[in-house]
Amino acid sequence: MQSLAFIITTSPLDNRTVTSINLITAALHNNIKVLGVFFYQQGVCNANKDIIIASDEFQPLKAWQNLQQKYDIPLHLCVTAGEKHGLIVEEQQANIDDVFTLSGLGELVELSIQATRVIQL
Amino acid sequence: MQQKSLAILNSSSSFDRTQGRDALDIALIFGSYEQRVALFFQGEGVRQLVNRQQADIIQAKDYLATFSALPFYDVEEIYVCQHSLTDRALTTDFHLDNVSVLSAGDFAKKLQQFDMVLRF
Amino acid sequence: MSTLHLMRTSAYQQNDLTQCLDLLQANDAIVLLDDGCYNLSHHLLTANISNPIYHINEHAIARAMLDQKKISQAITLAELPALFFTFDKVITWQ
Repeated sequence: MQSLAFIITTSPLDNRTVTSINLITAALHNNIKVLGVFFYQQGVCNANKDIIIASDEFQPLKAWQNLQQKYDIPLHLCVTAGEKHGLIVEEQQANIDDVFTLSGLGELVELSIQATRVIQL
Repeated sequence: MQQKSLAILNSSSSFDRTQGRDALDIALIFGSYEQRVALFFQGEGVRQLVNRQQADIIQAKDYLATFSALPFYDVEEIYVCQHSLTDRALTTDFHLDNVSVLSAGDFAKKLQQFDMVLRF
Repeated sequence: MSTLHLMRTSAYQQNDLTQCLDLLQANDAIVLLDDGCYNLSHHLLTANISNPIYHINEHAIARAMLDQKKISQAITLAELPALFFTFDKVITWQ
């Protein structure tokens, strides 16, 4: 079965992230298996639940939550990149949303090997 | 382990954001998983290969020095586009050995040989 | 071998499109999405490229971009995932 893996490098404030979310959703609607999404570089900021976006604007975090919960897609957060961008893993002050899984770059290798195509966004 | 060959297309200059470092990290991890990895340098990316850069002067991490560790991860294919060098009046005075300088046409054909391409 | 090039930047701002065209092979195609849609009027594309060019219709409309020279085939974002598999690999220019 044909499958995709995605790498997200754009910030939640970047309109290209909307494109990425819509593209992943479109793949799922076309019954294409999405093995996982790997958040790298500025893309890790998508996991930050302390980012506040005006309520009349597109809510990327909500969209990621919907994708993860509805389709059970792993959302892998690159921990090293996360730390560089102010994401805190420690339980007391954690600011990473629960739908994200803490991963290393090794996860990207695994996804890349398994997926028919890897799409960097 | 299954194999998927990876070409990393570097097109950002040495200290442009964290592009070069982030690409190198990916090269090293794919190498450590015994995947075939090659580095390609095109456009401003060729600046990452230029010899005698001094990152410390601008308080930048000297990640370019880490390129010399690539062979230990079995990353031995490094390709640079001759056209990009010529455009920038650069010679082949690199800080690395074993860099293959390819004509624009051969550079493009070599890239086609890989299963996946990530660009930084 | 064939590559699908996802072009997300405007050639009026940066030179990704030039580099992409340097790599373009006979069986490749280009998709213009996001700011890549601004390239619909760019001379690099309007000067006879024989490879297929697609653009994401909603992204072009959002930017008031028209394909005046009819160089590109309009597709929706929903149609893009299927294209990924008709090429051997995908390179993103952003």
